[in-house]
Amino acid sequence: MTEPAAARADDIRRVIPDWMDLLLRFLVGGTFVYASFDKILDPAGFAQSIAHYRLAPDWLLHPAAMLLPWLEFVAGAAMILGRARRGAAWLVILMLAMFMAAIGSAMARGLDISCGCFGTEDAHTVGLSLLLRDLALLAGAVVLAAARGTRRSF
Amino acid sequence: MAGSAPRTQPFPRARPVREGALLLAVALAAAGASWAVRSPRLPLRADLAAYELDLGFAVVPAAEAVALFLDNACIPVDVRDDGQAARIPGSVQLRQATFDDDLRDVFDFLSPADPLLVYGDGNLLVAAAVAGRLQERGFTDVRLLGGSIEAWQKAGGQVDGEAAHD
Repeated sequence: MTEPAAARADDIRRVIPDWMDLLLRFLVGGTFVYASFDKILDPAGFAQSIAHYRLAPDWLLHPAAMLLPWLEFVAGAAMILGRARRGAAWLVILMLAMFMAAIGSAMARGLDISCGCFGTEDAHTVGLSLLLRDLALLAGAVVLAAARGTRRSF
Repeated sequence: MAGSAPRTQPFPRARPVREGALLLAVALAAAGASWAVRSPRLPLRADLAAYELDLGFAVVPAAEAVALFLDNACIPVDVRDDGQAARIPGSVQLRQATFDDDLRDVFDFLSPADPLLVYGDGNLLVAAAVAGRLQERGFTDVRLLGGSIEAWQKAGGQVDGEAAHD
């Protein structure tokens, strides 16, 4: 009777408790889905937020402003639903690494700008607290990329 | 016994690259569709000059703003929400989300010709939005502080509140 469980355990390298799996998926995925809404509705405003970082060239600014929010939404939703979850976790890791590099570079250049993380009128100024928040999300995403609960999805 | 019992299908081996590519494709399709139906469409190539801060209001560097303040030549307007303790002394609070209510509270103390210096957390777009609302209400001398309250403090400006003794 324990064979199915054993078979699963053989196939999954690292198992975390279901509650932790669910909690991390909702925290990390939910944050990304929530963060995407305003930006999907106002790509021009988000382009302005990206432009403040003075990193994106002209050919990249608008495509990035249109694609990034949808990527956040799709990866976050997939993570919550438990579909394509490792792919979603890796996409989230890549996005967070990019966000942290952008924030770090803005801090290094002394730019006093709002981050644009949760929308175009987001009042968070780039700074250490923002980096720490992204780092916490990154830790959650890394766990989700490397391990899973025993339930496949909802 | 061996091999006769149906095995529960194990989880398929994770394929993060393939899954990631699939999600990326979905996001690309959604972004493309939302771009296509939106009017006006964002041009694919941005005109970066348009993103240089053209806020429609003069931006006063912090040091200059401190001098104006010391000469009693401006009334500071704080656009931030509550909870951010450090404020320029004598600030009037006019938040973007509750602008009309906030303005009603302070309307008797302001006259349209007063020189206003709008400041916030450094996001000049928010400050400019409030400045625009003020202009709509007939205020004629509205300027923005370049930078946040930290820039003001670094330039030697006084503040009220928690961070005043930093």
